[in-house]
Amino acid sequence: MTQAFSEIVRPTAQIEAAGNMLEEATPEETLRWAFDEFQERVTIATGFGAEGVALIDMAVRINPNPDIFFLDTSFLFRETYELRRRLEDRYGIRIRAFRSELTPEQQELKFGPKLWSADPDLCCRLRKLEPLKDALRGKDAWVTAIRRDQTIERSSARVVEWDCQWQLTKINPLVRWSKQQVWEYIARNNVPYNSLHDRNYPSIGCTHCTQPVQLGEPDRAGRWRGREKRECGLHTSTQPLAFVIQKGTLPSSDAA
Amino acid sequence: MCDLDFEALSFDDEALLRRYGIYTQRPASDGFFMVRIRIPGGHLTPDQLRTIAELSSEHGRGLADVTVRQSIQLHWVRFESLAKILERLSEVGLSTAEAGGDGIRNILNCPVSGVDKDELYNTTSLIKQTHDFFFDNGDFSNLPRKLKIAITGCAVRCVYPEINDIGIFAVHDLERGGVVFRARVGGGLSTTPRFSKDLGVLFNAEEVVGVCGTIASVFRDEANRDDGKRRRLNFLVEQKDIPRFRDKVEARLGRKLRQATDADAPPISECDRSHLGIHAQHQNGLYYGGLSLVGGRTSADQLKQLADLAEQYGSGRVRTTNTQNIILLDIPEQKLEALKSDLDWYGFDFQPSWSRKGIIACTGVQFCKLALTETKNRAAELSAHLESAVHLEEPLRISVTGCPNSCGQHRICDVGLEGSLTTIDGVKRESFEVFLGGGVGAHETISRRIGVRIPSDELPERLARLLAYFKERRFEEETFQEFCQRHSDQELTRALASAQLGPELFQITGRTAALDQRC
Repeated sequence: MTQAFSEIVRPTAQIEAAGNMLEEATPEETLRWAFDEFQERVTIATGFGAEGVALIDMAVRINPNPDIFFLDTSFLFRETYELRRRLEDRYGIRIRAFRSELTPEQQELKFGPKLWSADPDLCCRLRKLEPLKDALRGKDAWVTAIRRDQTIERSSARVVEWDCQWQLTKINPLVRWSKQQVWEYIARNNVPYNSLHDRNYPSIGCTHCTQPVQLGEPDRAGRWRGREKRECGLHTSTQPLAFVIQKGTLPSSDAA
Repeated sequence: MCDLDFEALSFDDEALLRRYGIYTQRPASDGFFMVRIRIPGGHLTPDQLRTIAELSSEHGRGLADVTVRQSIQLHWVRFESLAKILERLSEVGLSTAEAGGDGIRNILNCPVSGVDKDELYNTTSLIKQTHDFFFDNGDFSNLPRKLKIAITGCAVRCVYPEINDIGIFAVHDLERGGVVFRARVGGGLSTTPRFSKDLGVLFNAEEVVGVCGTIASVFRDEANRDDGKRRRLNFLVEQKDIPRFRDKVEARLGRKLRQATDADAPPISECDRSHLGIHAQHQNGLYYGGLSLVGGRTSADQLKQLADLAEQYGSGRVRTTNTQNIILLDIPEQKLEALKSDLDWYGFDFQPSWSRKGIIACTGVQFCKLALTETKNRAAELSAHLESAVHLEEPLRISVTGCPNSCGQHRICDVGLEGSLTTIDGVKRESFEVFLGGGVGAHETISRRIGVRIPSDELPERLARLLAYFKERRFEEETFQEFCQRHSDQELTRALASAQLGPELFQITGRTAALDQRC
């Protein structure tokens, strides 16, 4: 099944061509192309990292009301939630939240306590990957702020590529940028950023799985510290994701 | 109609009466009726207001309730009074037609349209045109289900386009400048709450009536008529999804509408949408005064006083709001102080506290055949207690609603209380299930069932505990909604418990209990 499926989803010539055309483009040029090409069917994902806020600033200069979302795992830092509000106020935009069907308590009842530590992959799946499906529903493309030098998995990312896992076009305007370029952009444009960055948190995820880094450590060393895990899985899989939990199997809060 | 006997009323007669906004009142065997007077856009002249006051006093035991669709309901009406009431209403240009049943319900407008300093567009004449288009229009006499329309140019979109079947609102035209309109379709609360979805098109004021009528005709011809529970527009929108629904609308219009570049309108920042209190109008030297009625309940005497005050101090123009309140317009600055002292004298609240500003209540068990609990009095007790027990800077939206049908809109409120009967120690007690963190606007959210019911006599004290807990532990500028999202059901439940009352009276609802058993 999956075999046949992944054959269908090889990058089409068009996406390949767009990727080639935009390989040398500035992030702004890429974003402009994305808005022109996909209109209201493109959405921007943000995790509120340094790259993410820079990307929001660029996007709003081109399209005053872009569709932007984040995955609210219910375990984010206070500073992250505050940053969401600061960005919304500053740019007059809405950053939509997508959450798991399971509240933290329901997750604990179903999968046991501290799932983030017992099975971090499952926790990421429940709290990030499943909600992402809702966020991307009805969209033809999504924009992410990943850079090639962040992780080995991201090093082969293209500016425009077909996202096998989520079955839509993925646009990564910042792939060629360095961390330094990102921070120069933030400083130059006075973009609001997460105050945890000033306290040795270069990469920020959930409270349970993010720690500060020591001098000389890689930026993502504080993520899932002590484990092999480097990615939550939003940007890695090359196969369509199987459902973890079926819609409707849990008591939903607004059922009749 | 008056040749009929009350006893001889059949089920079909009742359905017909509902179309005219006339519902049997609990208990139906007593032969009393509720009469819902539709007030397009909430606009009233002093004569109209006086007529309603007189009808209430002559036929409705002096009671009047302002509703969440800017209408006014009379109760205690005898069958033999109905014809007289309809006639008197029609003499002053009011009607009850399609105030109930499967028709085009009262069309909502911002209650301060035409006078608000911040408004983007004065929709007053659009409301009239849209009302005139649909009113007594045989093309729309056979809809699958009711259709609720709101049209607004209000900067804070106070009439909630998010929860109407058709919500049309003005936005700044970011590409060409000026103001354009957008439409959201398929909202509705009832037992399965849904927010409307943006149609993704931009149109001018002149096109509003046409777009509205076209959406209504798509609804009329395409919506499901078989399943009684799935006839509202939202099911059609969900079934077609927005692009295909838009195609249908454009096909009927015979042209493409201008496509918006964004899927959703730019959000409005979180703010008080109530228009209560005294505010300067955009007309120089004039003010409007929004008065809180707490749950919409008022009386014939009060309505008459308001008509008099409106004429004595203002232009006479009065507006009802979709938060069950009343606004007097066009008061010159030099008359403000005298008006305020008269309002004080008559007991009208023009400086509502945080707890009175945002509280609404459905009709409740006193009159409604579906309700399980008392609501209006509960809302009054609750707001009075909260006001003295906790001080908050910003109003919270609180709803006391008597059953799961959401007439009190409890699923979009910060605190939503849904009436139920709970057996505690073998005794059936009136109680309310708690829903928290709902809201409209940038972060539209259906409120969350946290899994507890509170006996109604403990409601004021327990909610005061919860709000004190919020006040104590909130981050700077954190909204109640954000606070609830950040806290678990258990934490919020614990906060509702109080030392004096003890936690043992809390009932875990069936839904949560079932989850416990499964796991």
